[in-house]
Amino acid sequence: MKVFSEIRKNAYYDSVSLMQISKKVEQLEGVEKTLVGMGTKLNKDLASNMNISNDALQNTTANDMFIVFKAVDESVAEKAYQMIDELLNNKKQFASEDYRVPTLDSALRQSTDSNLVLISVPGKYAFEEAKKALEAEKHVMIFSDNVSVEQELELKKLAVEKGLLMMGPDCGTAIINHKPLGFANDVSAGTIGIVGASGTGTQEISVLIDRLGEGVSQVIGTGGRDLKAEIGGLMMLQGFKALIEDEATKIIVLISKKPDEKVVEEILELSCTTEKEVITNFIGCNKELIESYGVYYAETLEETALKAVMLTRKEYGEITEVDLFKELKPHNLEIEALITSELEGFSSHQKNLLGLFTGGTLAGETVLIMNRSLKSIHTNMSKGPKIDINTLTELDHDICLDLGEDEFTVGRAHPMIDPSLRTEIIKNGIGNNVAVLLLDVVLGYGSHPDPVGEMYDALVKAKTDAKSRGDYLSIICSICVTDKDPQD
Amino acid sequence: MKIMSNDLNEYLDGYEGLCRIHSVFDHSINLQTEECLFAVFCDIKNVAPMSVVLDELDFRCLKNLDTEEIQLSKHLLIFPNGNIIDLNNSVIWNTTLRSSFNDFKEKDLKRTKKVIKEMILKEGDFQGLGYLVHTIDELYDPEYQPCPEMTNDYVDFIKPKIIEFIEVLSTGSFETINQRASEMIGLGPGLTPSSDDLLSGFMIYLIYMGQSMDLSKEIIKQLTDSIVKNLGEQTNEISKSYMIHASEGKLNKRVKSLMISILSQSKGLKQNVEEVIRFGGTSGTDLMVGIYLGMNMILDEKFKGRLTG
Repeated sequence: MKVFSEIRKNAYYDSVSLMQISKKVEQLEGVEKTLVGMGTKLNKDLASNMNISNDALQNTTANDMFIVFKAVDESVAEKAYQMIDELLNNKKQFASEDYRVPTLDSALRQSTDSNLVLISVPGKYAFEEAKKALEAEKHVMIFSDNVSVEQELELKKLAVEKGLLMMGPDCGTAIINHKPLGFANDVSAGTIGIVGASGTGTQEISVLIDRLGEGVSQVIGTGGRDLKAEIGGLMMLQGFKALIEDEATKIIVLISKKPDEKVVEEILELSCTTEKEVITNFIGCNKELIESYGVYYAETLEETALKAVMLTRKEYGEITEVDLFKELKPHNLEIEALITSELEGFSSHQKNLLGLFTGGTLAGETVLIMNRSLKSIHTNMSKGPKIDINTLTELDHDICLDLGEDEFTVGRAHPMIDPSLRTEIIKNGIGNNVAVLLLDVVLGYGSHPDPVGEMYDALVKAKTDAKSRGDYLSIICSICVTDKDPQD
Repeated sequence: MKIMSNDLNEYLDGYEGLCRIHSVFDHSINLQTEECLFAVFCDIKNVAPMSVVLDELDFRCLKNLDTEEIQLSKHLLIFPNGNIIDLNNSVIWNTTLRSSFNDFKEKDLKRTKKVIKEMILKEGDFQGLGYLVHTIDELYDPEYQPCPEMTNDYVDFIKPKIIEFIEVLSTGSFETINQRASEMIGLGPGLTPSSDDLLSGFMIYLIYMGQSMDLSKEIIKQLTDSIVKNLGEQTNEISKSYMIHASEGKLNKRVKSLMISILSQSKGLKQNVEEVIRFGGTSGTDLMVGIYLGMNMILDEKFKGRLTG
């Protein structure tokens, strides 16, 4: 046996490739031992120790890559050299040809082991692409909007038939096997599974779960219309079934904007087939109906997350039934003190509230909560007179706007990506009667890199303008983020 | 969306001049200025100290560049053909942990240690220094059962050196620690030698667990400084810069998530350990062994005593 070596001066190859090359060389008949690495002193000492060193190796530096091996003769060594060269060059060739596939067809051809297709194309093309993907036995997430109800139903029926997920259309968020898709936050892995028919609501719950120290197993989006009578909750049912079967999921959270009652009952019936704890946040749904199926009812996103976390801890034996939900009691002394101090600054004519939201569910929940104490809050989320944002300063009532509604996104990106419309509204003046400005900031993958920075100057100006009039503007902002999100 | 680590952002604020393409991999490119090396990635998951993540198109432009030198000015990468990659307005990613995690109990630490050991044994890559888990157990676990077959050439070679290193950590001078660490640096397969990854994991754990347990920051700093002092020619430029980042408590995204789950006792621990282990060839496993060493040492009264000052 003789020692042979291949040295590449000042060359860097990633560890995985080097290890693979080393293994392949070692498998050659007539090769006994290989060592691969950078020419550090210690690696060279080790090679000497193993009796596979030579002068060439001893002359390397820490920035040179080496492969050294023992072979029976020159011809075997030649084969090994050829193989090393081929593998290193193939790698280079592969690297330079690394490219993004231009069509779904080529992606399906090239990536046969992938099992989910994320579709984000103009709505009119989404149906065909999604159908193609489902027919190729892939799960689908349609981020695009403007897909008709009829097309949605056809796609979802096909998915159910094939036992696949068809998330969307207009599915803003999902976390599948811990991979965030669309708008999603960097949430810790855990045992709570979520099926959501509302994007930011689902995001907010996952973020709160993370903040409370637990994590999610899967987050499945369904698209906002899924629980309407026309669609019949096909994907909520499909996602729910998947979580029932998923071993990593111990607690299940279901969330939707106002659903159809019959659809809700069908979903609740499915809950009877599992021993896993289920919590629902179905806006506007009858509490007694939900609880009659042994399912937990939660009215707000925060309550939903808290209940899911408490039930997880009960599952782990960390808390008992008696202590379950104890922490849900209000502990708002700090908030009350803040309210008292904020109230001091208002003038008597300041009696209105203005909500400018980028997240639809956050806006919806705000209206739901505010309706308990305010008589009529004007919103673009329900039928009623259209609100003209150019005349906001002249309006004299409480307003809450979802800036992600179609009327505001024609010709511009969703406000979570491009929040400039909100900045413009604030900059142009929000009216002297506004006492409280409610905002949201949704961070995470897919969202604007710095939504606060984007509106900061406008907020300062709004505050200063109020002060110069002898008024006071109170700004309250909800932030949806985890400490691991990219905006850090 | 471009994402830049805060340390690179600070560095580029004051930098104007040439930078050289140091090395190119499938998913990363290293650029070198006169003072340092920084990385360019195209996947946000890879964001790390002294790095920037570009979108795929910009990344490919840089990768396919037919030159070795690029002008760097005011956060702009200017190619010889006039094309520009604008790094201004990048989202800034913090490489250190800002949250404090206090109220750490010994039983929590033991439970986490157990999970990490199980994960290394179950998911680890043992072509580097993974089997040192057994050496560590041999030193710290009274119920340790010998596993003579669980070894390889690297482990056999470094075992006496790491035992000496562990000994001096508790009682030796910082100079001796430096000597012993020097005898370990640069061993193992792959781009970043395994022993470097192990020491990085050890330093990172020590820094953050030290903060959580209110141990002396000064002593820990002296200790990590003495590990990376005079790295010289012992290892390559890339590994050297990773080790220096680790000694300053700077983390890449995967390790940051892992440290958050270790320190906050959250349920995502296994997932995050798995993410780290999967990274690189043996690097992730070797780094986890370093963390595992730190966990054992911090429970050792003699070592802990030194860190309480």
